[in-house]
Amino acid sequence: MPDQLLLADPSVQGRSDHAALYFDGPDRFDEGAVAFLDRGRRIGHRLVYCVEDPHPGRLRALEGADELLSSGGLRLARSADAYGSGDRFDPAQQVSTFRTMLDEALRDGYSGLSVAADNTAQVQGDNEAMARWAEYELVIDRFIAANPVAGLCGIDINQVEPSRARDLAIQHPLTCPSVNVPFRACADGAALKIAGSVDLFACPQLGRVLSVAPRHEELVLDLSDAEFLCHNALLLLDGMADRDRPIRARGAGPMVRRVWTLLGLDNPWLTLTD
Amino acid sequence: MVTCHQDFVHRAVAYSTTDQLVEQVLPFLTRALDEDQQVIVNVASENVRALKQAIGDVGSRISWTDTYEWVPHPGRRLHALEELVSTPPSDGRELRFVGECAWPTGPGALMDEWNRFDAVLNHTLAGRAVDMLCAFNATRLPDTVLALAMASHPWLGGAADPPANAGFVPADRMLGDYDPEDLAVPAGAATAVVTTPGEARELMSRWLGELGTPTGRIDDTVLVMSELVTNSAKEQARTITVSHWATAHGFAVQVDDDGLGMADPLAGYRRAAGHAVSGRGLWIARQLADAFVVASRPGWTRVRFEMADVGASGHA
Repeated sequence: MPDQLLLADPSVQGRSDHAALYFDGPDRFDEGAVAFLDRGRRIGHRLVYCVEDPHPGRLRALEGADELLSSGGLRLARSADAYGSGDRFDPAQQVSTFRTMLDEALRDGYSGLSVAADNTAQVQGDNEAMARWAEYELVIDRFIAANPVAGLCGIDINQVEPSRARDLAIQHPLTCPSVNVPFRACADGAALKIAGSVDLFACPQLGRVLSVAPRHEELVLDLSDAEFLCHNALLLLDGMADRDRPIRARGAGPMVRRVWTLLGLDNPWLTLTD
Repeated sequence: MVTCHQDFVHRAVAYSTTDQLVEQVLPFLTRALDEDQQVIVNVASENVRALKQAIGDVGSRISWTDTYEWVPHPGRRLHALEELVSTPPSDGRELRFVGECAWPTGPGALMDEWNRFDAVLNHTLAGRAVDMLCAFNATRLPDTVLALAMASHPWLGGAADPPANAGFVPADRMLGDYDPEDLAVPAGAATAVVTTPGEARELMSRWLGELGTPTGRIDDTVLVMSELVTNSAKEQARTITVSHWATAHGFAVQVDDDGLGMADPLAGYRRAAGHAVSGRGLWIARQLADAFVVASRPGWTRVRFEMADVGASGHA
């Protein structure tokens, strides 16, 4: 799985602190997790390994695993305990849990937190559960981008529908191995940065990502890396922006502005800024 | 007999000299002023001068514009006229409009686009209380262009009760007559099969970049191309072929597909209303392309658009 090394490769453009690892069987997840956690170890993070069946033997390949376990530098957790499941999963609560863990790690002298988790079980629920998970990915990505935290979200490709796997890739700045998605929607400060191209056929995916954005606050979309947004994508924004969730699109290129003008969008809750 | 005060009246006059133009247009203008209607004259600058001189000082009762300055692009002017008549004067006056196309010096395709503009106006402004007189310079326009121009107007002349045009051809028939066979790709054109809008956008960007086309022009072309290939895919095309070639005044691009086809020859001429999601792609394409023609039958659709170099849409 050579692409997993991207996590430690300084040549990676953009953020590499939040990755989706698509794996085929538990052993493959562990290979990726060890590489990821080793990178965390080297930069002084507290490490968290979170799977259904966490036993130390699975991390034999991690340098100094025993010492890390005994010193508290490595913690093991069961996915079901860490995330709950189904309708008990609360995205905001989950972020709060990680915030507490980060605070604790920093108090204990670590430089941050690296979490490698097999999230396959969390993305196998019904559409409602999946929407909650998508909301979680959105808020945890923003949390990761703003804090000394790195996250590896493992997805067993044999157990998750391909369309869901692609949707998840869109919400991660990095995927291992690389997944060809038309665009990505990831945190950039308080904004959601859309990078890539959104044409008609990618609009449903954009709609799913945006629909889980928090209400009662302005959604800032950074379009500076958006190579193309078709008119349907702009109409989608137009349809989603309202008093409860105004949308401000910033950094759009001339092509997006051209279409925007042609459409004559006049929704007061949708604005275009530099 | 025309019901001038309830529906769109679209009439044509042909002239060979400025005197002939004035002779036919002046009664129309005088009558409009007598009836205290809103009057706009949008013709070539030399005709603005001649008509101004003929009618004398009428102050601001007539709005005068040069056709080469006021939205000199068929698709965009169609929309501008639609917008104009959608906000009638609050005092209840009707619009009387004297117009002349911004005929280009470029290739026939650009002239054809103005012919289509005139034909589609009958649909775009249907039901509006507008009386529009369109003037055509018979000495400057090619015979075929002039013939189509006259045929696209249901009424002739500037009189109060203009005679019906016996040679009138409705827009759906005029535009529906295009057949894919008519749009053969010229020898020497580059051709590629694409499977996604993204591929088509990339193809256009690369080609036009190599040609040194200005960025804004590339953007417009990429947008048109993306809309067309998206439509092809929506129409269940299995094979989408893009051809492109340079023309004497710019470049042409054609998209062929084997999808379901476009049954409505007037599709995309009017902007979809309100928050309607579908029906905008073709409209956007028509707003951006300088010439845009659709030829379709079930299982075979060809859409060709042309982009002129800056300046090619100059004065004919």
